[in-house]
Amino acid sequence: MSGIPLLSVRGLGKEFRERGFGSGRSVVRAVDDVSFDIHQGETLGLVGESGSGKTTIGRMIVRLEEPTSGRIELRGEDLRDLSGRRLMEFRRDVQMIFQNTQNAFNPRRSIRSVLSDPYEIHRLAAGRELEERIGELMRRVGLTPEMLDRYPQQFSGGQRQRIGIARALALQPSLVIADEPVSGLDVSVQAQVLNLFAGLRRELGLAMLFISHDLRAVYFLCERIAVMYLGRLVEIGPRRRLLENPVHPYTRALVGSIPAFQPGGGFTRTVIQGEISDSEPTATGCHFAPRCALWRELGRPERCREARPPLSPAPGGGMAACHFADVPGSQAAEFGDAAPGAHSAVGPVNLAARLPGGSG
Amino acid sequence: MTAKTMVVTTAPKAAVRRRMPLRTAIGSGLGLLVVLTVAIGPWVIGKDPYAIDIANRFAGPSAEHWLGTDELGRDVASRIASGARATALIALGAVGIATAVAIPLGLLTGFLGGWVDLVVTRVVDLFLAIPSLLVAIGVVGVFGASVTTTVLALGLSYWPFYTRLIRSAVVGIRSRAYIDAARVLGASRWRVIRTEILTGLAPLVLLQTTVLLGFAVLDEAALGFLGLGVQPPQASWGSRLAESREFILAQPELALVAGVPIVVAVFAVNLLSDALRDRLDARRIS
Amino acid sequence: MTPLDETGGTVLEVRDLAVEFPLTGSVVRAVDGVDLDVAAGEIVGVVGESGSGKSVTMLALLGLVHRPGRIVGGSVRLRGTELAGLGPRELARLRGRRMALIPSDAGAALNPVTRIGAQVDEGLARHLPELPRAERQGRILDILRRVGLPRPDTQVRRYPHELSGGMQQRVAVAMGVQLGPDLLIADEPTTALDVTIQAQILRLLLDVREESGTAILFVTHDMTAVAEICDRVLVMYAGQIVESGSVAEVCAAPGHPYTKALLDAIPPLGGEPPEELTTIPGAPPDPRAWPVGCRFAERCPLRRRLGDPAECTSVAPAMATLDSRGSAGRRSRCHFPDALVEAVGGLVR
Repeated sequence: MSGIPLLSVRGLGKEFRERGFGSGRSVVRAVDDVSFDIHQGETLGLVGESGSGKTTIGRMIVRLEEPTSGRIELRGEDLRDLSGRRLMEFRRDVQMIFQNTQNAFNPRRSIRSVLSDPYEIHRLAAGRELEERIGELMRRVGLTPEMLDRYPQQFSGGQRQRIGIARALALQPSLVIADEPVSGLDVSVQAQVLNLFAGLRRELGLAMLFISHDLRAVYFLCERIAVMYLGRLVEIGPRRRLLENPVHPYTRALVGSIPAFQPGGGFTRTVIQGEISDSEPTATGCHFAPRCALWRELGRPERCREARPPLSPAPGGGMAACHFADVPGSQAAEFGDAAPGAHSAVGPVNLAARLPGGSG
Repeated sequence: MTAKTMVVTTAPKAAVRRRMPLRTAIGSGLGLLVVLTVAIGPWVIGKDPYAIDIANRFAGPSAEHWLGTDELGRDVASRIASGARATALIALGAVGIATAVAIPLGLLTGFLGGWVDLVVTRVVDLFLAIPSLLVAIGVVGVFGASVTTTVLALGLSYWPFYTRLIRSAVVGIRSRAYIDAARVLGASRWRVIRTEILTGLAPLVLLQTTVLLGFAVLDEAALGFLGLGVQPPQASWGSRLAESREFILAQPELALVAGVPIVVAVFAVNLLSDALRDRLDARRIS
Repeated sequence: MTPLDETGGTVLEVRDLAVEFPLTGSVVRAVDGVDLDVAAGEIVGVVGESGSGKSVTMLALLGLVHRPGRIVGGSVRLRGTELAGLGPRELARLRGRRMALIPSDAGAALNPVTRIGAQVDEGLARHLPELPRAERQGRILDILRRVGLPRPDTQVRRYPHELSGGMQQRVAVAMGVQLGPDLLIADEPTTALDVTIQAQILRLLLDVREESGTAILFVTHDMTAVAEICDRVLVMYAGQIVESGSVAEVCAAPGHPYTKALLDAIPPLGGEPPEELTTIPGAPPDPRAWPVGCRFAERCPLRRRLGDPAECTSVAPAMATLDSRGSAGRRSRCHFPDALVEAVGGLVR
């Protein structure tokens, strides 16, 4: 990681004010002081549960939302200053792929019309050339130009997602924000779309922010993974380190919640107590503390409630935001999986042994 | 398509397909009748709707006067036919005004939001709080009763709720992901409105226009009946009702004959708009 | 593998179930000859992708196939009672009391304008009207506590939208189990939830089985969840069951190429990720005209490897016992199940 990063996010924050008048409206801090970089051709995975703020970050990067605080820089240039021509150039550089929902496409427009948009808006092609480029785009994502006159609802979920990818690729961006692009797809279709992503990245040298709640998909595609909890970045690092030696208790909980897929191995997940809504966003302490097994085990230290843990380098690469990241034993704390009935605490043990393919 | 959605999608489609022909047939038949009356009615009948013949007043139907004559001996059939033109003009004019106001205002408020939305929405609420009949009476009071003022009066009483309807539709469309996609591609606001929002509004506008046309025919008649619409002797369906009102006890068949075309026209419009709505729904589901 | 224990008894016995949906000009046979058995205390996974017929099968079991769709054949026995000929009213009496559904999206299934307590009470009041009100209240609080809803005494006064998705799903589970049904049908109960919440709900289903011995049909597209909580698994493709057996055996050595393909498509977690995931080429066949031979033949990698044997496209394979695979009860709808094993060897990922 050297040179100027393609994308640089520093101290990014977003507050949503409740609707209404007056100063008494409560403020929801959806994103709270988040920083990370994405380098040319790199894929960063952003994982977290719903309500963690991961989608808001993506939307701020493509300027669908205005940040409340912090800076987003593309090749060292602050996005806030962009307007007019520079903004249009930025649009060509950074594109977004949306979650596959009924709403991702206007049901009244044919695919030909949808895919013409980028070329028309940026006056890149018209007439026969437009026709050729749209056809090429369709082939690139594994569809055929003959499908162009169909309407979005005439396609399967997987095909629609391919069209969404085509729409984003038309402008040949160098960075793509993909927001839950494979959720809601059948397993075999999801594998096809993930392969398409992998191929595009290889061939086009695309950098990507891959936002997903599916750690398996993220692990397959992303060299580095960032974990969000309630608006904050709690851990970021190379995928293998993050999966095999998670430092932050929340990351450990998240990794432990994934079914290890050991057929007949019984219930292999660790069950983390509570929900994201049990944590109250505080300005001071650690958001995860109320659900944190390590916190309870250490006798509920005051520090976790009073001081926000800073992101600091984690062993094996990356960063984690936990006051007790280096507490001996916390790496392999034996929280264990409790007996059925008890919604037990966190603690995957010896991941390499538990995870399929971990030995390879 | 999952088997589960098949359950959902096939049911209404099959039902629509079975029910639509009869209703559409009746609706189109009656609608065609109304359109023909407006277009070539006076020519087919070939009588002057204003020719007075006191000697022949209250005559029953005959080969000479298909629907008889009225209190001044004028030919009722030709008065209804030429009245249909005035009524159609008023209905189209009023709906045109309401649509012309509602679409830009609805887009402005729904798409831009902010203080524009706040101000316009309050004004709309204010208008909605005044009974539309009062608005009409006010307009007639200021400008005097005529075809033009009837158009104005009806248009003024339709735009507020129409604006609201458009606004809420725009707000619904605005939150869809494909609007975000267009913005990320760099589409200007105008382009987003043109390519994404107006295409989504089209079915709603089509449907709402037909429904409003039915209302307008009814309201024109109501204003005419109250003496606030088109003034006799000028022929319209409303003024025809007003004229027959005085003789409603002695010659009830006159009022009946005056009312039937209104019922037929409104019925036709309602049948057609129902068919239209089902068709649009079916298309959205599939 | 949990054998169909005669002492616990067979709870559900389905034979040759078929459901059709007429379309204009054609008929879709969405479920075509499904056999399945569920024993008391057993969790059986039903796995398949969109359009495989798994959800329609469940609707048919519950008597909830709506016009124009209809059950055109087969038998459904719940604790020996034949459901096939029952009228809507009799089926409604069974639903909730003898068999219950946990929907995939509790948020959509709960009535938005009724308080949680009243919704849970609806089932009790309908099926146990003789129970005094005060006692019903107690039972409601008790069941909500058992599904892990914190502070049930305050939650009963809340409306569904005031609860998180996970909590809504817990309420749905409570409504499903409160009358102690023989059979619980959980239709993608965790699909809409975050992973940490998914784990909680799956654990809850295990607890329900543990406590009350309820038989559970767990419908999902997620093979990894099946591997965790199910005893047996049925794999559905194009309206048919193509493989059945104990979870451990099916996952370790799939007896049908489709099952194998499904397992291969799961992105592995840990280690150096592969360049590409294994995918299934093509798309499922048109349900309006199922192929004559094997319905998976068109996409089948095994068929291609075997050099396109004629049977695959001309003879519809029957569900056949895989005797060579150890335990009984393993069945597959493939002409060449043994070739699959030779070609792959063991497969756990």
